[in-house]
Amino acid sequence: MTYPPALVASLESIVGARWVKRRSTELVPYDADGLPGYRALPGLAVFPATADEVVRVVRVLADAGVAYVPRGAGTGLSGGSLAEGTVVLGLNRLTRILAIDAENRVAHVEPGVINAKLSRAVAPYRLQYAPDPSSQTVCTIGGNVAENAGGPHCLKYGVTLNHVVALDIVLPSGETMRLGDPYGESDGYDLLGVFIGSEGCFGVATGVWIKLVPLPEAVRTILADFPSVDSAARAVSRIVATGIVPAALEMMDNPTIRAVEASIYAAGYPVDAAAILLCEVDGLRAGLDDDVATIVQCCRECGARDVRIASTDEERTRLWQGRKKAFGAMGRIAPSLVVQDAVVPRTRLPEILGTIDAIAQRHRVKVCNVFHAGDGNLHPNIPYDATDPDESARVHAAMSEIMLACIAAGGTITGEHGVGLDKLPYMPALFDEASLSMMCAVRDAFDPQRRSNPGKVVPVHSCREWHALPGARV
Amino acid sequence: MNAGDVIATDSEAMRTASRAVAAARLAAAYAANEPLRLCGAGSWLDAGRAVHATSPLSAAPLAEIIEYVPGDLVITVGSGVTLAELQRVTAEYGQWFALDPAGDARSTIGATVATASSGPLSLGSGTIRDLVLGLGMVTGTGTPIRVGGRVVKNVAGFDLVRLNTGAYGTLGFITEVSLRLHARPATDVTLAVAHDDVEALLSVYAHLGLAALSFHALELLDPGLAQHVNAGSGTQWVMLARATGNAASIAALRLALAAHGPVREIDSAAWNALQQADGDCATFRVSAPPAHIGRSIMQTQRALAASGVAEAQLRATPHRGTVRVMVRAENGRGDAWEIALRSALEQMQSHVHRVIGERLPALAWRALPATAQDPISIRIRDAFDPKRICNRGIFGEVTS
Repeated sequence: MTYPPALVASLESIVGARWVKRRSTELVPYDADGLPGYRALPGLAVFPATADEVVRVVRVLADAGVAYVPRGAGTGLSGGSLAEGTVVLGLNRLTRILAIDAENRVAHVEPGVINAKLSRAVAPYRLQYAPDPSSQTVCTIGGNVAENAGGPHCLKYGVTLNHVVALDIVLPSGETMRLGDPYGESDGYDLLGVFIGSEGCFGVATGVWIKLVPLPEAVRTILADFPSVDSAARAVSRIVATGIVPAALEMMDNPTIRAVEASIYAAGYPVDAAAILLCEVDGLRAGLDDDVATIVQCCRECGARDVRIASTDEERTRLWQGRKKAFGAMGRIAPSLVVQDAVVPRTRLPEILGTIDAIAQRHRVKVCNVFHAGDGNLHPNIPYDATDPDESARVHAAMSEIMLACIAAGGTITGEHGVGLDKLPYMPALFDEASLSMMCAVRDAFDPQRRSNPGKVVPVHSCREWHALPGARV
Repeated sequence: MNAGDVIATDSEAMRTASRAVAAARLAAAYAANEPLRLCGAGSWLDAGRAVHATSPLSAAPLAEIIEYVPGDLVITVGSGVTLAELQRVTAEYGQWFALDPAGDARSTIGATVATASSGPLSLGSGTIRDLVLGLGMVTGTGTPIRVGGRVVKNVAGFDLVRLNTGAYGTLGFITEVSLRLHARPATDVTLAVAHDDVEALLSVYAHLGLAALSFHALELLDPGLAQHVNAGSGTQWVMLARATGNAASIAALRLALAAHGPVREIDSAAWNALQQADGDCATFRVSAPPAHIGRSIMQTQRALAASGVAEAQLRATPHRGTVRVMVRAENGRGDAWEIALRSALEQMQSHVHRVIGERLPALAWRALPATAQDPISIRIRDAFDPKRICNRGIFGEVTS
């Protein structure tokens, strides 16, 4: 869509002409978020460089009644940052780490700071930022806040929600607000909690206060290989039942192992294993080896063929690189890759993996399973050729059945990627009309005109008063 | 039993009936514009400010175990289930709900969620905010809704679970709660270190470094409170530390403490006694940056002394920077005691980061600003409870 010259001029006066993109060739980089099959060209993209510029940009958009889509690094994989014909509000120029308060273990950062960069910056203080999504070398803290991102080490340390103590936000009206408290408890409603994971629908965070956690004194990484997915899943339940809380407990199935081992990320995984478990424990050095012994015993009792413990930092890094780059490794198999995200109760893992296998066979697609087994968070991934309409249709149908199977097993449709556009159709299968309507009502409390990331997360028909509201211009 | 076995104590029909009763009661109240006092067992009715209500709606009848899958470490219960019952049921499977908020055996899980109450175990297992997975509730219009789910990781839709945790029942009546459980630690040891001076104990805490955060719970108790829970002689401050895990890690934690002075192992019943120490005390929390907790303790003590409030007991949670204060009612002093407490709270507010009231006499509440009065909070409350049927007045808002 074409925006009025006066609006464009106002935006340019705030951020500079260079940081307002209008030509389609300039906008192409912002037409997707890694989810194949979903591409949409924005109408405009604006990139403020400071919190003050964000506020002024949002106010100009509010005055003009124009909708916008906040965007971090665009690695969300849910279609949540697509901005078809509307304004992309890019936050990846706000990259400053504003303060590190090592004494209180709090960091104050701008939303465009890259996840891994924050952990590197606080490492000299023997601190870390714990949530570690696989995209951590490129994804931003602001994006993590919007999606309530997780990662392998969230099993012990918790997700983004558990690590953000305060936010400075700009509401879609352009008003600013502090949610939470950087240095203490809050009372009243937990607006911080409800903002985290709101997928850009409640406004934009311009400042993020992070609770840092100490780096562990010691880390042990265990690789166990199993003759069946069932036996690996049983080992997961047995480990968790001991009371040991591993820092991470990840599973990969055979197709994933083969993809990794055939790539430049080869980690030395046994290619003939039906499944492997990558288990990590950390904390004080004392007692850690006893925990390792218990875990090894659990794996062996459940039928592990081999269990090995990384003996050097290099070996540990290599084992993790295979896991974290598994999605990239699958890129070798086919030109496109759907990275899915769902959760089931942990005891239903063996059953759901059997169901996924049956669905894959029925639709003649190849599923590579990588998952955060400790918390039942599955990533069934399908490599395919998105230019082949028949294959695309089969992949889509298989994914849909997998989502419904996870819901039927008592699970949910997303554990860390968010609903975005991709999961919208499943929301009514998870929540009834009244529950979805209350979600809309909370959104309206933050954004009565529904201009911030419109059309995402909650199906529009669930918002009873949608048609009665003055329509936002999209 | 197998890992995936499901344990439940009620039938679907019973559950539907009790939810339906609550929904019908709220719908009727909404139609009649009749404000209700929503509560759990009713054991802490004077928590929060005075509620303007004509009748109560109690969660006590919703006392069923709806679904418990030990292999998933997840339980779903009616909101009227007591914390004691939760512990009894989960202990049978070697598990526990790792939360120990202040309160007695009657405290319900619904009220714990509504008041966002947590205790010392939050160091190792997180606060109630980290442990609630999903809720069933009825809004102020009598509409039943479900938020969150029954799995430990879930970002489907907006997080109305967090919104309702700590909402003091102002958004509706919680009927059902899904919770994350933990395996009960095989070894659970309670250690005590005593010192005349709280600053000395804070120095020990600072020197412990990573070890301090590796305990499952760690609290500083003033001499009176330490004596009350049988952890001290009544003359010294006590650092009470709970170590769980394997034998080697517990030995290392004990050694880390011993580097700073004599360590006694005491009966873990001290934690239960601490949970139940409130009695009918007025209670509030003082929150400050963790590095300033020593100053926060000192300023709290000074404000209480300067205002003539005696009979106060303090405990501090260093990793959170929180000081919790219990003040025994001085019935003989009438209004004078309430006014003194109000004066102390006013002084503290000007010195420390934030004062959060839990249970205070009416006059003392006046020292604290009304909560949840920003425009977003008001709009949210309007959406859930447009007629202010639910716990009207509990945030200190103007009621008409």
